[in-house]
Amino acid sequence: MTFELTPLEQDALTEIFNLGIGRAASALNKMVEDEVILRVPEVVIIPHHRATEYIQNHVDDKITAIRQRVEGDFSGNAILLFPKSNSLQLVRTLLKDQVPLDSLTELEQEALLEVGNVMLNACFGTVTNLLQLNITISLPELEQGKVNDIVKLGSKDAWALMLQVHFSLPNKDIEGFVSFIADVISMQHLKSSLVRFVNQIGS
Amino acid sequence: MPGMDGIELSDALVATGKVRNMALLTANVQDAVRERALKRGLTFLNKPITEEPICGFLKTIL
Repeated sequence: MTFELTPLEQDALTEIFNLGIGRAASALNKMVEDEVILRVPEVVIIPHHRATEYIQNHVDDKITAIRQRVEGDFSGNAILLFPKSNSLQLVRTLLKDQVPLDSLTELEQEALLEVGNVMLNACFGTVTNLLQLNITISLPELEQGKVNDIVKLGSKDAWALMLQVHFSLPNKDIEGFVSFIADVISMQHLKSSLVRFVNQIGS
Repeated sequence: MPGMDGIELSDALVATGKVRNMALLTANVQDAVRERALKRGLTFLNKPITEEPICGFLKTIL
């Protein structure tokens, strides 16, 4: 099953995720009290099994990922990804370097889960508000390892709508990605909401 | 939280008759969640949280 968007719908979806990631960046900015730079999101529709390859082209092989499952009017996996070395740097920034090193492992995990939870909810909550959709977002799970092990492959025949945006904290030398790998089978609601959204802008 | 969301917990606490004033502190910014919270009389606070909204909430109940 393929899923197609017109160029206008694809632009609208990119802009909607741009607003969502803007809200997520604002949340991160409050947490780290530092500037967060965003790139324009990329939206691609690719076979599900190529999603891993696509992510691998953008990040190191070893990553820290915070993943939340999205269910409802559309479904998929929302993932916040950092190169593994960056995640510790982010935690130290969040905790303002006041935590003894031997306490860091447990706190690191809790802090990273919370960063993921806040950023992914900010992003996807904004997207669903704009598109007048409803979703539930599962509790965050933290995983560290290779991209291949973390981004589980879907069926060979399935297609994924994949959104990816790069963000960075230049003063802290930290960068990461928010990725969303949507189940295309669930995309009809999203497509019809996009059509409505585009028509509202045009009217 | 596992097993129950914040709104469900607030319903359970209200049912005990012992808790009156509650705020929902959540990362979830969806309008539908905000409406559910406000409908129950909960103060809706979003993460990340700072002292100011917490103080604002406490002032309303003290």
